[in-house]
Parts: sequence; structure tokens; C-alpha cells
Amino acid sequence: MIKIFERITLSLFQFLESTFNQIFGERWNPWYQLGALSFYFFWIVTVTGLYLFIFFDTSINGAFESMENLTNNQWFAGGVMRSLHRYASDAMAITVTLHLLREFGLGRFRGARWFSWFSGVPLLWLLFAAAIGGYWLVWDQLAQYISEVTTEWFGWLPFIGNSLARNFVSNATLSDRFFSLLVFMHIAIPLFLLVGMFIHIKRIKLPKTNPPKGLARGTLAALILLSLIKPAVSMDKADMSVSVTAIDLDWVYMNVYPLLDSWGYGAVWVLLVGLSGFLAILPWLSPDKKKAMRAAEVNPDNCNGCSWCYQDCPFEAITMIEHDFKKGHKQAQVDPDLCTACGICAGSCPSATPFRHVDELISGIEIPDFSIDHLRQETNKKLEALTGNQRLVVFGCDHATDIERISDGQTAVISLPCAGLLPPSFADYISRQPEIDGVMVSGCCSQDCYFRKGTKWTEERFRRERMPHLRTKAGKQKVKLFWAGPKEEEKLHTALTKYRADLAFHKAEETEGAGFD
Amino acid sequence: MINWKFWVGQALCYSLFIAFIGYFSNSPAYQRFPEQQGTIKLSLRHAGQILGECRERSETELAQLPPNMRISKVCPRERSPLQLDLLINDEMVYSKELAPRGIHGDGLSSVYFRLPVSSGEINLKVRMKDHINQKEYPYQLQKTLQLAPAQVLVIDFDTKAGEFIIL
Repeated sequence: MIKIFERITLSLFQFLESTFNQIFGERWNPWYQLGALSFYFFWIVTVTGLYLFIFFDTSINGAFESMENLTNNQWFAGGVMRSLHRYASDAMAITVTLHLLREFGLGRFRGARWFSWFSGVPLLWLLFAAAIGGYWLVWDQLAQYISEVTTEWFGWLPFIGNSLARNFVSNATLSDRFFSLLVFMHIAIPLFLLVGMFIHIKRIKLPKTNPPKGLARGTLAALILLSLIKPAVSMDKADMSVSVTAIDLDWVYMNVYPLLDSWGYGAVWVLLVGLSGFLAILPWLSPDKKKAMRAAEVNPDNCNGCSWCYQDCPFEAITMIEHDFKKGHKQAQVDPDLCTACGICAGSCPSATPFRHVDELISGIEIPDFSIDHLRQETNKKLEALTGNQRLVVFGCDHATDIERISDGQTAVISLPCAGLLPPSFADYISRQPEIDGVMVSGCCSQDCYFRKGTKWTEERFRRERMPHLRTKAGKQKVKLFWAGPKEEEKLHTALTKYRADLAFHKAEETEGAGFD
Repeated sequence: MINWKFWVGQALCYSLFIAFIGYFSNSPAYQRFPEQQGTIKLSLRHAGQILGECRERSETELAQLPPNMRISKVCPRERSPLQLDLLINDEMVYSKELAPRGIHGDGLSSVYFRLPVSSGEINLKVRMKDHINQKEYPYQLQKTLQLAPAQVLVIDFDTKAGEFIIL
């Protein structure tokens, strides 16, 4: 059942992503930046919140008036800040929810990635608590409704009891001290949220916490425009002697509040705690045994301690320790609990080269279920089987476009767990063979590698900006890189056709040149 | 290739995004109660009477205690639960025995109860016992009053004065 939902969610996101690629381009596509956008909205909320706090009167009688004053008499600054504060927090809830759904659809909650998933669950509670606490402070009728329902809801818990609700029972029982506590909590909870966000990304290297500038500017401009068109305003001032019958709810954050009236407090606790518990244990409820590959292994005989794998591992699973037997040298060490078996480390290893004259090619570091020796054997087998006038080898990624569809007599395809597993020396090895016309390396979309950095590192290695470099002497045109998402077969097909045409053009030019000589 | 379609498409996406946020940030309005409905809140804190009597310790009992704890008079801590009833138009809408708080049962008893009621004239009767042995209700309030639409009427208890109050 979980797998079915996962597949449906993934298909939906893949459709949206490929559509948005046409509109925003891969770099600015917001679906690839949901986590980074959430961070970005958090900072907008923080900055605007600091501004609002300067003018906010932290008392039960002054809070409403100070917000009204800010909204009406300072609409061009305080009013916009207030609106941005509200709308950016709404936007954050939306991007966080979509981020959760997307990671679920991509299956990025299993195995070594459990920690980021698990640590994200309490952040949902903190986010909602921070936002709802903010609405409370305005002390309008919405705040009155929130105070009544929230205190009753928490008072339902036996260890809290009904004394919390008594604070908001009438105008006479309201206290400035309790209100000061709410202000404190509205500052403290977002700080806990920030700490939680830091922990959430702790296990990944170079996390993407800033969206690309174009997307950041566009989003901010859109939110400012919304703030000007529809400024955030208060309802009437809270009056505990009169019930609020119709409430202008923020449905992004308070969507469960109507359920408190219709289902009762206990049922909503069961729903939310149950849902959170389910999300928290999801990595263990639905382990993907079929796809689970063994963690990378280090072979000290072939590890020279260069540390390239240590630098490239996107999940910080590799550390450098003293070499087993080479004095004064380092060697890599893999933490299997953190390793996702992407193979990016094998792609970075200088000993992972098919040019080595050994019967069994053992790399300094590699994943046992897709060894470098296996890759060389597979490459040689495919090269031998190639026929036709224009012979190509295409390396693909299991998580990107399905390359099997382009396989034919003159196109050999080899799919890897990640494009980052491919050492550039393999492209050298193939392209130097005269009967082979070209090598194409395909992988996930440039902004959204399944293993985070496979696409980026591969691109840098092939551009000679990152070790190990591509050294091909056969000419640049013999190696082509291509990135596309899983649903972009058409794009792959077009790119391959164009590449074949380019190769044919170059070949004709060379032949012509040779003729003149 | 960046062209006008690229920018128009983006503008459309941003517009949809802010339209979604702008609308759902305070719409549609949630109708919680019918306009004509009022609310009665019964909310009070009161300590029940101590259960049991104070007594003098015997000489033997005192001798067994450490010197700094030899206090001759010993009183029980446990308090009686409250019996609280609320009747609206002679119909019992709330009747509960409220246990005292604390692991020794020596704290205050408290209640918070919210009841939606139709507005108009209502006959309200609230009564409370603060000792299990009491036969009659020593604290009572009976009142006929007009409840306006959406009005919130709070029934509290003034412990010092020993009487119910309406806020």
C-alpha cells in the first residue's frame, strides 16, 4: 500500500517537475528547491518578525492596538512587513508539506536517509506551533478563537488539565503575564525550529539551504505584491464576553481546528499523534529490501589515501583514518549506517581505472553490488557486441531517464546506480577505441540528483574542474554529458539524435580535411 | 532559450502561488456557531473541606519521631471532592464529582465546562457541595436571565465570599 502511494506521488511530482522545467528551466524549477525555499521563507519570517517586534506592545490591552497602528498608520512599512510575515509563514508550510511528499515519493526516507526524514517530523509540530502562536499574539477574534480552542484541546490531556483554559475564560481572567509567556514562546519555538532544521540537514554534505537567486527574487517579489494587493489585517478586537461565530481561519495552518469542534479533542489528538508516529516509523515500516545495496567497502591495498572519496561523499559516510599498513598514509573508512551505496566514491577513486593491467580490477573503494571490475567487464562485453556505422556507448543512471529504450545494435547502454559512479577514465577508455564514435553519460536532472551530488561531481570531473579528470585524447566531441529527469525520455531521444548528427558532421569534416591533405 | 513564454509562464505560476496563499490565509470563513447561539462556561477552582479531624499524638507516638518532627497535633491532608451541578431550565446539563488535585488529594478541585445554548431567557441553577458528608448544597445560585446571541456567560465561584458569581 505504501509503495502504491509512493509511486502515485512520484508520478505526480515527475509530471509537475518536467512541466515546470519548460517554464522555469532546471535551475529555477521550484520543485527541486522545496527544502531551500523553506529555509528562505523562514529567514523572511525572521527578519519581518524582528521588525514587528520593535513596534509590538506585549500586553493584553496593547497588542491589538499596536498591530492596528502598524497596519494602518505604517502600511508602507509595518503593514507590508506584517503581511510578509504572515504570507511567508504560509508559504513555508506549503513548501515544507510538498518537500515531505516529494521526498516520500522519491523514497528518500529509507536506509541511511532515515535520519533526515525522522528528524523532520518534530519540525512539523514546531512549525505549526510557531505559526499558530503568532496568530494568538494579535489578540483579535481569531486569536480569541485560537485561545479558547487550543487551551481546551491541550487541557483535554490529563497532565495539563483545565487550568490552562481558565486563563482565557473571560476578560477578567486575562493576564498580561500569560501574554508575556506567549510572546516568549513565539520567539522560543522558532528558535527550536531553527535548531531542529540544522539537525535535519546535519548528516548531509553541502545541503542546499539557499534557493537560486532568480527563484528567491521572484518569490519575494510575488509575496511583496500579495502584501500590497491584499494586506494582512486583523479581525475585530477580542472580547471574551462574546463568542466568535464566523472566523477567518488561516486554512494553511488551522485546517484541523474545525475538526476539534466536530470530532472532539481526543480524536484530533489520536489523528495528529498517530499521523506523526506513522511518519516517524515509516523508514522501518517500508524498507526497500529489493533495492537495498551493500555499503561501500574500502580495499586498503588499493587505497592511497588521496581523500577524493571523502570530499565527494554527499552523505558524510567517509572519514580518513591511519592506513592499515602504509605508515604515514591515510585510508578511507566507510560508516555503513550513513552510506547510501550510490557509488560516487568509486567514481572518484584514482585506482578505479579500466586501463590497469590486472585480471581482477579492484578499486580503493567501491560498492560490492556494482564493482568497478563488473563495470569494466560489462563495458567490454557491450563494446564487443556493438555493430553499425556509428557506434555509441551510453551510460545512464537507475534514477534518471530509462536508457534501455534507446538501446540498439549501434547504441550500447549501461545503467549505473548513479552517474557519479562512473570514473571519467571509462569515458577515456572507450573513446580511445577507434571503432567507437562517442560516449554519452546521462544522469538525473542537474538540480535534482537522486544521490544529491552525483550529477554535479560528474559534470565537474568531466569539465576537468574536479579530480579525477577526464583526460581523453580522442577529442572533446567524443564525450557528451546529458542530464534529464525520469520522465524526460523525449529529451534524451532528441539529445541522442542531435549528438549523432554532430558526430556525423565532425566525422565528415575530418574526412574532408584528410582528403585535402 | 529564454523567451516571452518563459516569463509569462513564470508570472502565471507565481500568480497562482500567491492567489492560493492570499485566499486560504483567511478564507473561506469558518462558521463555528449559529449566530443566535450563546455560550455558558462553568469554570471554577475551589478546595474541598479536609476529610477527617485533627488529633493529638500520644506520648509513645511522639517518642518514636525524630526530635525535630515532634509536633503534637496532626491533621489529615486529604480533601473532599466537590459535587457540582448545573441545571438550565430545570434540566441537568452538568453533574460531576470533582476530585482534588495532587498525589495526596490535597489540592484544589477545578472545572472548565463549555456549553452552547440557545439565546433568550434561561433559568439557571448551579449548586455545589464541598464535603462528601453534606446532605444539602451549601452553595447555590438560581437566576433567570436573558442570554443575548453570541453572549458568553461565565459562572465562577468566589472562594473568599463563598458564593457563585456570574461574569
